[in-house]
Formats: sequence, structure tokens, C-alpha cells
Amino acid sequence: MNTSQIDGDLVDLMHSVLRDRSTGPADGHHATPPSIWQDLADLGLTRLSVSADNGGSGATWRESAAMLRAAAYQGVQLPLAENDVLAGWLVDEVGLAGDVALRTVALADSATGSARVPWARAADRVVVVWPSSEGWRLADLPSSELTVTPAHNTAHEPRDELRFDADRCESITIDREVVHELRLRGSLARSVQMTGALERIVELCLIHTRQRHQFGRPLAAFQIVQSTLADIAAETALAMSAVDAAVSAFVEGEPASRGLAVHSARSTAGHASSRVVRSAHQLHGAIGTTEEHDLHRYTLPAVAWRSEFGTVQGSDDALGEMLITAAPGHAWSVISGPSGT
Amino acid sequence: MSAATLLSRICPPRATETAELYELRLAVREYLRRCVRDGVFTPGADVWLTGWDPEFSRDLAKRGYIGMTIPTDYGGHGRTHLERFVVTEELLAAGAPVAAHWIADRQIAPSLLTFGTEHQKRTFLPKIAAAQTFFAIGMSEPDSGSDLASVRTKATPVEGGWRVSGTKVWTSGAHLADAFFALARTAPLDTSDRHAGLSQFIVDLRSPDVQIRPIRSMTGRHHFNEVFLDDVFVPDDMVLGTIGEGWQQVNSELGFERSGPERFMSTYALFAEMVDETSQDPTLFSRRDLGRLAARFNALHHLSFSVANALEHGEEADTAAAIVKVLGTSHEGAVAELADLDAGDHRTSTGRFETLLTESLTQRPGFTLRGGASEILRLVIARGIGAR
Repeated sequence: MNTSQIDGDLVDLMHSVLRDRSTGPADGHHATPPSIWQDLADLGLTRLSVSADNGGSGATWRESAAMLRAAAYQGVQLPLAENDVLAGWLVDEVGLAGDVALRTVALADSATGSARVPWARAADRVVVVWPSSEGWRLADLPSSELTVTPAHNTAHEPRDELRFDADRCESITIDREVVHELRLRGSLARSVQMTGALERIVELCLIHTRQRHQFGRPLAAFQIVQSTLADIAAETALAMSAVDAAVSAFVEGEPASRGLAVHSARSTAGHASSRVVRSAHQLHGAIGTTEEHDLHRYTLPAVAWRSEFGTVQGSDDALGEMLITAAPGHAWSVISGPSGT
Repeated sequence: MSAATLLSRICPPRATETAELYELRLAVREYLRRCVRDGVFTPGADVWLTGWDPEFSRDLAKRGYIGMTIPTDYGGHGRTHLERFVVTEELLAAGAPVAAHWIADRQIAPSLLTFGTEHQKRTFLPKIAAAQTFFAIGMSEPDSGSDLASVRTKATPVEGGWRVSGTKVWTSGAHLADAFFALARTAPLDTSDRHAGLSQFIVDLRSPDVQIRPIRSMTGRHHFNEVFLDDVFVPDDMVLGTIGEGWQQVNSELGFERSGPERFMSTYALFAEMVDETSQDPTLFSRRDLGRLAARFNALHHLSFSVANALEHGEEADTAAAIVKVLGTSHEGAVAELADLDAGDHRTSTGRFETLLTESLTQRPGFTLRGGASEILRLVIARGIGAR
């Protein structure tokens, strides 16, 4: 069977470690990674797709994506994407010597600093990438050489402000293609995380509408509610499908196929989250808006993530551009993609 | 429901298009490009309902693109559902006229293979694969739309066969097809088991006891018919499958019918034209709108293929199939909607844009009705995910 699945036991393991370890805004400020980080690291789950030479597990994007999705599904906030498919990949890609330090990545717009760096406060090192007059530069800096000012995104995840001195640190030149891929990877990682959150949101809606009774029957007994549940499940399925295709483009697809796949995934997951998050809060009623209820542990990230590493409409624009710059009559070859997708 | 369960019900495991499938795709694409260039057909919208062209169907048959999943013993090509998927998706992307053989190729042949007798298979399958026999399908009735179990067409046993009486409606292509499958009651309605007592019959549409009356669409075009069956004799050897099991037989093939590329590609030819026109005149449609629709085409393409892959391997995918239909048919309408809202009066030298837009807008109401109204399919999905 030509499906591209990963080992079900591995996914079960991920969920079993993450289950009931949900961390959110009420659980502290993440000055250090949550205690679960070491447990995951010991199991080789924190740098799945990083090469074994650099202390990784030597698996693929597919395993990394399963982990990102599982953490989002379980509501556990961790710098998994940053440490694995972003900073971990960069270290591999540019041929630096890696180690097991917790890394994040900063895609800076200047040689002095960057806003909204994910998890900078908890990282041992930050791989900083910035544009210079001679092209893109990269430095793998220890946190001791950085000034970090805490800030956060809508979901209360660390998105810190970072200052560094490009003149004083050792840096290398990197190809702009590497930066392009870094952006695509960031966009895909957030899209993968979104699907994990959306899946959990649909389940919470199913649970709530079966348990909550009004007018003498469960909410789920109303056809209008069933119809909404069907719609959010459908949108989630579609997002999942586009995201899985994009993950595959990084595993077995040609590099040229990745842009289309990632932008499609981001667009589909982004527009799906509008629908799913909106309907989920409507179905949950007022209780869903509280800190006490779990819903926000999934709805806030689903919204926050779609605005990181690019925007949803930015992906729509990019896809439109790909279509109208293709040769006349070739839109379908763009949309259906090359072999292996 | 655990994470794994919900997910597996709504989204089958991802399937990757192999290099062999991709090669087949490119071969079909190249052939269709030549057809358009040589004026064999003009790309149309909703071609699997409106594009009746027996000559083109026979050319496809010669190339082995019809009856692909029929075993070679029965005149087919012994290929997989995934190969058929790739070919049909390319045909729809090109807006090729495929209506003549569509029902026979999609529904009739698989049903015959599963439920037909050896005699029925030998009689019909080679002709279907050669595009020599075209079929329609008789399900809906004046009082039975989404509620199929309420059909009132009745079959009564007589010496050597059955007499079938009743009225079928919305029967696409009945005026051009040779025969159809009619769903009829062979036992009175049992209110405690409404799905029992139904059976399928293979009815010769050229029989003198069959009257066919056109139902003209609001465009004035003739695709649908009302079919009156006036005590039509159907010999025993033209009963399909088992008497009393019509409901199960009809439903067993629903997955492919609901999840195929025809559920999201009906207005693709219009979308392709929108893209090409915008390449010429960048003020026409925004990149953003085109991009958003392209992402959805791409996602539906992947989801639909994964459902086909699951069905090919005998796995249950009814909920995911209903999801493809609900999302896909609404997307087909969204394409027509954008075209009209943004550039409804846009004129081209060839007139292609206007024609495709008019076809898409006027065919659109049917997209979310045929093969199960979206409202009913949402309830099917709700049941599949455990909401009811």
C-alpha cells in the first residue's frame, strides 16, 4: 500500500508521554523549558529529524510532524519545532557542529535584533539569521551573548525580543535558498501544529455537545448542531490532508514542489482555523471563553500560529502568483503538483 | 472517541502518487492538450453531466481510458481505481466531454462486477469498456429525493421475471442511454426497516413500455428526464444481485461516487480560464482570491486521492467520502461565484470565459444536490464522527 504513514506505536508513545502534561499561560512563564522536556529528550523526541551526528534521531519530517501535532493536540507548549525542524535543521544544513543544547531560531530583519523570537528565554543557544549587504549571515549564539526581553503571542507562548551584536559574533554567509527553505519550514511547522489543535478542538466540541443538555436534550441532538460539527470536522480533514501532503513534499518530493505544497497547507489550515475556532466557541457557549475550561488551550494557539512564519493571505498571494506566472494552460500542472506529491 | 479514531474516520492515511501514476497522468494530459488544439472538443463546465459525445467516448475507449477497472476477461483493462482516478481527474481538468460513458464507467461497471451474474457481466462489461453501451441510473422519484428508501416504483413477480411500474426523475441521459438500473420495491414498505424490500433491475430503456419525457433545465438544455415504467417486463436474468438487498447494493458503491474528482472539478475549466485571463490582464482577478481557491483545489485533490486509495484497499471511508462531497461541491460553486462577482461582464475574444461562467452558474444548483444533498451528507458525517 503506497501510503506514507509512520509507525503507530511511535505516535502512541508520543501521546502517552504528553498526555495530561498540558501547559499553558497559567503554568508559569517558561523561563526554563517545562520539566517534560528532559523526558522527551531522553526518548529522542526533541530532535527527531536532526542527523545522528548532531545528536538527533535521524528520522524524517514525517516523525517530527507527528510529534508537533501530538504536542499541539495535548496542549503542551514546547520549543519542539524550533529545536528540531528549524534550528536543528539549520545547524545540519550549514555544516555546523551540533550538540544537544536546546536551540531556537531568530529570523532577524536587521543585524541588531529581532522581535518575536520563539522561546528565546528558554533556549541554550539561538541560531540567528540576518540580512547584510553581502547576503544572508548566520550565527549560532549562546544565550549568554544575547539580551532577551520576554514577550508572548496570543496563546501566551514565549515570543521574545532579542538583541545581539552582529559585529562581535562569529558568523558565516549562507545561501538565500537556505533562508527561503527556513521560511517554508517555519510555515509548515506552524501549519502542522494548527492541525493538531484543530483535531482536539473538534473532539472537545463533540464531547461538550453530547454532555450539555438544553431544552431537554443534548445539544448534539439538534440537527443544526450536527451540521456545524460536520462542517468543522470536514474543514479539519481538508487541512490535515493538505498539511500531510506538504510534509511528504519534504520527505520524498522534489525541492521545487515544496513552495506550492507549503502555501496550500498554510492557506487550507489557516482558513480552516477561522471556521473551526469560531464554531467551537459558539458551540461551547460562555464556558468556552473561560480560563477554567480547556478550550482556549487549543483555540488560542490555532489562531496565534497561523500568523507566525508568514500569514495566511501571504500564502494565498504566493499561490496566486505561482498560477498567473505559469505558462498559459498550465495552472493544473501547478495545482496537481509533480510526481511524489 | 480517541484521537486516532476521529482522525482515521475523517481523513484516511495519506497516499502518494507513484511515478507510474504520474506518467499516466502526463500521457493523458498530453493527449487532451492535442485534442483541444485540434478542436476535438472545447473545454466545458460540468462536463460529466452536460458533455455527451459518444465519438469522443469511443476514442477514450480505444486508448483504454474507459472500463479501466474492469478485468481484461470482461473486455476491460484490469487497472486500479487509482489509475482510473488519475485519468478521470485529468479529463475533468481539461473540461472534456465525458458524460456519455460516465455513469456506466463509474457506477454500473463496479456494481455489475460486485453483484452481476456471469451472463450480465459478459453481456454488458465489454460493451461498456468499448463505449458501445451507455447507461443511466434510476434512483430518484417524484416523491423520493434524498430519502431514497421512500421509492414507490414497484416490481411484481410474474412468469419468468418481473413487471416494473413507476416513475423515475432526474435521470440524466436516459434519452440517449441504452439501459438503466432501476431501484424498485419488491416488498411493501416496513416502517420498522425502511431499507428492506428494495431491489435493482436492469431495464432496457428502448422497451415499448418505457416512456421518456425531457425535463428541461432553466437554461433550456436537456440533460434530465422523467422515465415512466408501465409494467415493463424484466426477465429474471436481468435482476441485479439479490431481491430485497437493493439498498445495501446501492450503498456499497457510494464511497467512490461521492469522493471522486467530479465532486470538486466541475468548474475547474472556468478556474483555468480565470487564471489565464488574469495572466493577460492582471487587474481581472486578485492573486489572493485565485490562490485561496487553488489551495482548496490542491487540498481536495489530496483528500479525494487518499479516499480512493483507502477504498482501493477495501477500507471503510464513507465519512471521508461524504466530506469530499460536501466541501468539494461547495468549492465548485465558490469558483463560479468569484468569477461572477469579480468579472461577470468580462468579455473575451473567444467568448470562452462567458460561456464557462454561464454554464458554471446555471449548473451550480445541482452540484450540492445530486448524489445526496449537502444537508443530508452533513448528517452522514455527523453520524460518522459520533455526534449522533
